[in-house]
Amino acid sequence: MRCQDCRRYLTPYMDSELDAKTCTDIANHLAVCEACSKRFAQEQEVEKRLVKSLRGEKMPEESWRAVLERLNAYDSPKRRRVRLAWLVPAAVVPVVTAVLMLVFLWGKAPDNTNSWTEALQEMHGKYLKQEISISPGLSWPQEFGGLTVLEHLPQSGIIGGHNVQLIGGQPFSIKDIKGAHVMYSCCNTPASIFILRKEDMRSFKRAQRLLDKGKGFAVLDLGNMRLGMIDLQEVVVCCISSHEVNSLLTAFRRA
Amino acid sequence: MQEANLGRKKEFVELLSHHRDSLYRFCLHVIWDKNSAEDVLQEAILSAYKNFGHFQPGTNFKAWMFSFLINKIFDSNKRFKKELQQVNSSQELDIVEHLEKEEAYISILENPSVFFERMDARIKSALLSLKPTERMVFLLRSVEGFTYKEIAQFLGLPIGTVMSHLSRSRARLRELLVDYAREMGFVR
Repeated sequence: MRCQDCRRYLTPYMDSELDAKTCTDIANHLAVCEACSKRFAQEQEVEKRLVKSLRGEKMPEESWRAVLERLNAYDSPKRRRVRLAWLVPAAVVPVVTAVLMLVFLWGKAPDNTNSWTEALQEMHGKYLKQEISISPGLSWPQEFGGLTVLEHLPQSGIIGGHNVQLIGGQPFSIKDIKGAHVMYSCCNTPASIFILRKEDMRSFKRAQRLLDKGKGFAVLDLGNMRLGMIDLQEVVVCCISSHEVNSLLTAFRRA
Repeated sequence: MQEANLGRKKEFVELLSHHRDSLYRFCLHVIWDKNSAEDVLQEAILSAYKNFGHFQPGTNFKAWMFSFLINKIFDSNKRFKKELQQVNSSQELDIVEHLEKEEAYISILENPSVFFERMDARIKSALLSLKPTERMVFLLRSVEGFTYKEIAQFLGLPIGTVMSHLSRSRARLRELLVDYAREMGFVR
């Protein structure tokens, strides 16, 4: 090895970072070259002195105390509460967001009133066409349990000057909304009564607005028929007929 | 839960206390401004403490702590990392060759004890004259004793680049010593 090559590798040699072969080559050269050996010792000494000058710095006690205080503050119950307090909004935010989205979507939900009235008209049409096999007695599924209105249906007789006949009834289902379809004859004109839970009326916005506006009573003109609605707190009762609808609905209110 | 936290903190502080001076002086010598250095160091220590659960007992705690500190130093000054990517090998060789022929440096080498006794206070000034990245590599290797491989991992650089930075910083530091020696009348 030449002195020039040896000098180039002195620094990594000093750092013990050379591969075994180069390291051996340098060690062998230093063993026989007095100038390089002297230079190596001198460089080591300069490095040692430099490092000594820079190693003298110590962390001041006040800085160390500040570090410990920082760690204590991080672990303090108060701080943990603060961290937990951050977790609460972290948990609440998605819930609130979800609720807001629901509210937003609710607000933007399509008004199903038209499809709903059409569905009621369709069911009433089946009654008109006698496509419904009416059972002789009125029995309601378990899910209608608790709807007191079904236990007090207006019976046949003169109601509000109209000759009313109770024909029969059956459960119905429109877009996952379940209700009761009670069929009457009013002055020989078929009349369908639809009873549904009040909470199920929410998606029928226009109908709901009309009910709110009419203080629980509203009538929609469906062309050749009319749809009357009455809010009875627990349920909403709707009546479709080409005859008048008010008498039957009033009878339900009394019931 | 509280006892577990206390035990965890005790263990962390115990390990940290052995290296507090190393961490402090490295941070101070790289950043140089005392207040900024202490802020960065505190952030690094807190960050390490939060991640103490990931520390493998029996491994090198000092190296583990330095990795947090170096990351925080990089966060505090984006320029440092950029500078580290730039290597000028020709400049490094020029300085080394120049020093080989520099009589003033030969004089320092001949009598380092006398020189450093007189120059002690100015060594830090010489260090400050280096670029922060040069200081960083020199301090990590020469003062803190990390291997080239460890330094390469800390800085996200190839080992060859670390060697170039180190070689240049040592040469530059010696060149600055020569300047000071002349200034002080130690050598002609």
